[in-house]
Amino acid sequence: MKDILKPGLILMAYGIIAGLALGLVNSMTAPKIAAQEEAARMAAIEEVLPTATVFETKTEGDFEYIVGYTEESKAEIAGFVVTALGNGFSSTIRTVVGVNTDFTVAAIEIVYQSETPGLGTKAVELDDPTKEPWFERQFDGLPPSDINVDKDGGKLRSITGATITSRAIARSVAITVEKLKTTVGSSLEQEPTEEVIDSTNDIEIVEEGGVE
Amino acid sequence: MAEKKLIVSSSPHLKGGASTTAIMWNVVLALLPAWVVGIYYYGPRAVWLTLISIVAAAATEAVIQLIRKVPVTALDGSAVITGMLLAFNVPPGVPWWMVVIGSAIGVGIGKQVFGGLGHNPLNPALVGRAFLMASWPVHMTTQWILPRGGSLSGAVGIDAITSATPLSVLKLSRTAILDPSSTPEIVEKARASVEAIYSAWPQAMIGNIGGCIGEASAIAILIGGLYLIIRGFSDWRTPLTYIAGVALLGWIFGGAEGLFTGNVMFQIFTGGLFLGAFFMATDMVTTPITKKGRWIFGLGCAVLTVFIRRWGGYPEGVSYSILIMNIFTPIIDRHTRPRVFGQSSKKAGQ
Amino acid sequence: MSKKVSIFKDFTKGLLVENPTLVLALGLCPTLAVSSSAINGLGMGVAATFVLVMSNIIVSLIRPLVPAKIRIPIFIVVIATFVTVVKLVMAAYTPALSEALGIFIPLIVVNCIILGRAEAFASKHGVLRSAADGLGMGLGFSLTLILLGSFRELLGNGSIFGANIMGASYQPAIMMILPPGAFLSLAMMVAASRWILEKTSKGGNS
Repeated sequence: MKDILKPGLILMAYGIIAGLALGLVNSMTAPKIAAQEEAARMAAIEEVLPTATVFETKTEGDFEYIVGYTEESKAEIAGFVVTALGNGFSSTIRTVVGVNTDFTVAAIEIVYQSETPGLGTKAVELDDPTKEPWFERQFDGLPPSDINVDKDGGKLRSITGATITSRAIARSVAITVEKLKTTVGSSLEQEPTEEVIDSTNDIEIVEEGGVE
Repeated sequence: MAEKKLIVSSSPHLKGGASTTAIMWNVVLALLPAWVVGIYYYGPRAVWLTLISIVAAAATEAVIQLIRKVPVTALDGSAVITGMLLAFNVPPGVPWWMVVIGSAIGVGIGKQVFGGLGHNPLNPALVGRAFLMASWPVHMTTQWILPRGGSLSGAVGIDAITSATPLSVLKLSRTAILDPSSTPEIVEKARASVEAIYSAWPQAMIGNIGGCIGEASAIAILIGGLYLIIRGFSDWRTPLTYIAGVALLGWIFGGAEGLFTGNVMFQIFTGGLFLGAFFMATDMVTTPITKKGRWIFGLGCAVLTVFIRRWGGYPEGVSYSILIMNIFTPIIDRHTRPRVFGQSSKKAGQ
Repeated sequence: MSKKVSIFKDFTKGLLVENPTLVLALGLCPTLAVSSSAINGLGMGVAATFVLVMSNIIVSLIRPLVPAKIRIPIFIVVIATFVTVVKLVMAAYTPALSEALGIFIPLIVVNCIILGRAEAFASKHGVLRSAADGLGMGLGFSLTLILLGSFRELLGNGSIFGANIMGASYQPAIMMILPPGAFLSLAMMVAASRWILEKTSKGGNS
């Protein structure tokens, strides 16, 4: 019994010391790490919706989206930001999408992908760092109905040799923007128009054939 | 006198008297009809691309054998076959340096590194092709050439599909049809594409379609393949099981609309199946020796081919099926060894 | 005088003669996975070297306090602690590199080089020698990774450390930056190092 207990206690002692040391380092680095992640997130959001300065996250069921306002007072909506997830060839591609108030795409930024280097990664890679990311720029200004690769009838040029990647990004963006449209569109309509009373409804007009 | 030894992993050896060189050069002979057809459809490119590939293969073999200080057998025909098969397995439009690298890797890493002819576990031409496929996927999937007098997919009149080979059209169409978020127009278009390529299977048989140089004409390959079988240089079991297997499984699983909707003719005449079945699944070094083993090998290849075509990321599955089955060859051989007379059976109480 | 010499030898043996990757065949998994580019190889090498040296020192220091029966779990606790520290510090101060190396930083814990040297050397020798051993092994590992990474990056991307070397018309062989290319390249490096070792041991004996 003793020769199980003693080593066990010693191991526990090591564990405790290690735990304390890690706790210390963690408390020193955690704020910095959290700040990094938040900065990256905000950078992407600001990138895709440059006209907005104030952001508010809203949830409708299990759908999360961000509303961007032009100023502090939240009087005017600049647009929305949503995150689209698409099943790429070898990874789930995460795209941040800025959406205008008329539900056309303001801009997209692919924030995470792990596709085939040289093929799917061409969605974000540039041969020349001074050039624009052509694939992402294609989405600017498109309504959801046009967001599809040319092979499927849309306006987007897919990446040569990376049909699956291109399609995944296009589809996920289109579907997510559509979802945003139906989610927000309905609540946008409800707010002011409910107040208006249609006075003509006081008079019921009975059409012909009252009995049958 | 230098002996020409045929090194196989176990006895028995092949039919009496044939030396390695004789067998190899007969295979080259059997590949000629396919080459001629390829030249007819794809032009002079098919000639010199193949020649470059052959030279690269033989040169690599010679150089490595010199370094290893072993007898140089670069002209015994096996390197020539590797070079030809490699060229036959790439799109006709690829740059010349790709076949050089493919052949060099095939012969160098696929064969010489293991000790030369007879020691390689994998088909050298397919090793080279796999390397090319993984290294330059864009070239290997887009540099097709329009066959003389035909379209890439064999079908005529539907623009969207004239730029892709039949099996890629099938894969794309199937994805569109089975995708729940596809609009009715997309599904309509996809169905029409599938109809068109299915009805173009005679083109696939003759060779009037897009594809690699050597997979164009099933008939030309068949002629060569039958020649080898009749002369006893290759076994009929493997090609038969392979092709029949693909026909059956392709009918069940290969369709665009679900089970049992596959088009048998289309499945067997497209995608280099004949080339693989007659010339690569019959390679003596990398495929089973035993008769039963050959049935299993052919069947295994068929299953893998259909599965890759249906569920894999590539439209074509022949090369990878054969490579994978190559890996299983030693196990297949071990478990299908014929029982020697006189040894007691394993059954208890006998 | 002789102690100085042997410490130097402890250091240099990790570079080639007992190169952890090419000769001892330790730590092959991270080697294969991380060597897709020169900078990744460098980053991984530096991180692993730090952990290796620190863990060797600590393991050597606590020698009297480690009952033989539970020495492996204790070594792992020590190693895991250092790796976690490295991971947190990298995530906070070098986020890009941390993301590029991804899961392979935490995987340093099971990098056989570290546990291997702790068990084979640090637990049996003094602090100075253990530190030298750790440094040598770590450097050998890093050099291997950098060479391998450069080779793969050059052929698979046309660049070294991000600087385009092969020119605009070079068609990179993508396979070289994928796993099969890793195996092939590592095999070639092992073959090359064996050849060098054989040549130098033959030539040195005259």
